[in-house]
Amino acid sequence: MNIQFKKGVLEICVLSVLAHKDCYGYELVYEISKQIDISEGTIYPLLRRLKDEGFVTTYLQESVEGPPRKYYRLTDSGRKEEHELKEEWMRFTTAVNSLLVGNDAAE
Amino acid sequence: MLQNEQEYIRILRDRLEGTLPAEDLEDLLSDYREHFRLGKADGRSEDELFRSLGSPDDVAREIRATHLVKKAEHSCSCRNIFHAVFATLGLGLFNLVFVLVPFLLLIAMLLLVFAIGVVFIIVGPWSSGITTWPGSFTSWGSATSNGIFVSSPGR
Repeated sequence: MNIQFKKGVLEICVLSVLAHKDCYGYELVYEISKQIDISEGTIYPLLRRLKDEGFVTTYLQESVEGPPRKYYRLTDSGRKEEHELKEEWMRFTTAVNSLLVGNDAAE
Repeated sequence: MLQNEQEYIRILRDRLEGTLPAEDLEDLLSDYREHFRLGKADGRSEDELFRSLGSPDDVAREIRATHLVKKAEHSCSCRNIFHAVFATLGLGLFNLVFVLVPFLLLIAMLLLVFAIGVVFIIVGPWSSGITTWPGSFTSWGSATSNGIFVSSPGR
């Protein structure tokens, strides 16, 4: 799949996974790469950017095995952003899909 | 060749040292260390984790670009903007078109406006001097001393 495509949707994917539950980085990477083939390393720069923009916050939480893990949690503005991006994505993909289907029918 | 965690961290540190503030850099590196730690606990090898993380050079480029863009937004000096533009360009051909072209157009427009300004400064006083010169003649008319054109010859 086109790499620029994936970069663009990665942000929605991260926000969307976090909307369901708080995650630590590795868990987030795992959840997403289960579905999409990504360069896993690009999630961390993205998370930093989302944190800078105030969409996520981090906290450390002890774990049974090993040192504490850094968890990411959506902020209120992150929740709003997730909602808006999702709406936009749905509208966009519906429009593109109908174009693609239309072109197929015309061929 | 098998790649390992140390190598990944080394490359990131090498590329980002001096760009990111030391504290941010350590924070970032600790994210990748945690990733390797949990991945190994998950039964994956360092080499496998390295590969699925993707090139550390790409990650470093992306972080550099984001950081420099942020810096340029905060203090809009020319140097910062050039840094940010060129760091972003490094991200790929796609960006080459979407960042470089508008940027060059903007520069070209600024230069054009500047050049037009210079032309007006140089030519302006001289040409207005000619058209209002008392008694100066052209084939289609003459300018009177108060700057009003009258047709010639005849009247």
